[in-house]
Amino acid sequence: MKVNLNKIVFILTFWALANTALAQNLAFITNQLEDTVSVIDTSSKSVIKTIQVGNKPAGVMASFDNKHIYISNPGNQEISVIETDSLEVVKTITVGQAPLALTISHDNQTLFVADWYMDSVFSVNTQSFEIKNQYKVGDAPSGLAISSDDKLLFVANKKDNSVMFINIDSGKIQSEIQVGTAPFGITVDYPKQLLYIVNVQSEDVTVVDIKKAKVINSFPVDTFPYIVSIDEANNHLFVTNKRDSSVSVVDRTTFKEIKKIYVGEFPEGINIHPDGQSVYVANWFDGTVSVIDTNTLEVTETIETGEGSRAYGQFIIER
Amino acid sequence: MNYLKLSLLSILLIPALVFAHGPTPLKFNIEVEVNASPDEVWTMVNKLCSIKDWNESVTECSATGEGLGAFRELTLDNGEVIKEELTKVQEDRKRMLTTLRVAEGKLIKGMPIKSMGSFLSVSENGSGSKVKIRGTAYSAFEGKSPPPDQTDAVCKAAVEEFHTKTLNGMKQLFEAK
Repeated sequence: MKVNLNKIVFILTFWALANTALAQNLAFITNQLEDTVSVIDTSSKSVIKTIQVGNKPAGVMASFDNKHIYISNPGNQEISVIETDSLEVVKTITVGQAPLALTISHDNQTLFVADWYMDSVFSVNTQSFEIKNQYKVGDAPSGLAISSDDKLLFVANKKDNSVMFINIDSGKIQSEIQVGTAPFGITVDYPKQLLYIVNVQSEDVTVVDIKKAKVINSFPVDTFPYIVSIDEANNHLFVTNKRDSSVSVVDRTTFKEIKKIYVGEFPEGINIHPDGQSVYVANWFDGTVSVIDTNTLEVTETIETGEGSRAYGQFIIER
Repeated sequence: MNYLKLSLLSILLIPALVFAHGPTPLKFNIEVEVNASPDEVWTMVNKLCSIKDWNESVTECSATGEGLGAFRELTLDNGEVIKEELTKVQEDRKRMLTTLRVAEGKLIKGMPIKSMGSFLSVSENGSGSKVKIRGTAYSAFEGKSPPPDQTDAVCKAAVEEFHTKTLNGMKQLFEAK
């Protein structure tokens, strides 16, 4: 009897280890016009579950420990917390008037929520789900990111054409930098300590040096651009151009465009896969996700998701 | 028009809070089959003010410039004036984008939007063409409780009605030829 039990334990342990080795990557795509999130298994490139969330889901943020996905629902002022093990909504948190952009501290303890109408960023404790602080920022905060040391928030203010550095401890505005017209997505290049801010109306990307808090470059993209994703291995930036239905591939050093890739209609959210082999793009108009091969720079797959696929934020996890 | 009435009626029946909205784009997607070759349709739509010949809601049109960057000002049958810019022309794909931006604080009666991007595209369809107008609009009202005449539903219905008139009028124009 005892031997058998040991055997079972051994088999279970082996199975668990084998499972870890075959880690699964999942992409969580917010479908803004049908109030759901599509969960894509990135190995089979298929939707394995559709989760009902709040009203008009837009933003998405994966925790750094891969355990939770936070979804912003500007339509009913809610954050949906999805547990990645069970793929269930385990909690909803009411925040502000129009929660949109999200980011999270690297210790996963604090979620930050930019509120489009309240010109504020809220911090939320991810254990107690209580709102800790309200940071006043500029007009219509659209993009949100955090520094590698969790000391600064970077906020793009769409109607002020600026980016603010907010000191998380003191709540003070440490810097405010003018960028292009109508900035939206903001992406941190952690190895280079740069920010890429995409300006919807001036149709360009502003490059900011974090340490100097200064604009060091800018480069043009196409109509109604949205947000950048970084491919470190190939030294490329991918930028979604919503009203060109394309993705611009830009050299990360020279900031020159290398290629334009046509994807589905009205691409918005974009993420590089953790394995570096592909980039996932959510197409708002088509309700699909395009998969781009990072080596050939061609679209290899188009996955049906749901109405109004947006996926604004970090949406791929490993489990 | 029935659709618009129905939307208005439903707003009266359902509390306004249900329509609470956020920074959410509205989607429209309208298409029609036209009895003319894609080249013929494409040539016509490139004359920006030709819209006056087929959209019954447009009473006057004046254009500034031609091609990319050109503007057209449309006077609608309710007296409102809207200004659109030709912001993209893709000759190879027979696709053009017109962008409408409403000045801060101004409200277009009957179409309470802040901005709109409309793609018009022409493609082959048997011996004729398929013409599509698809794109996004944002409502003018910002906040979580819009007045009943400025909800997302009202905006969407108004925008769809306008583009439907454009496409149906175009269809009729070619059938009359």
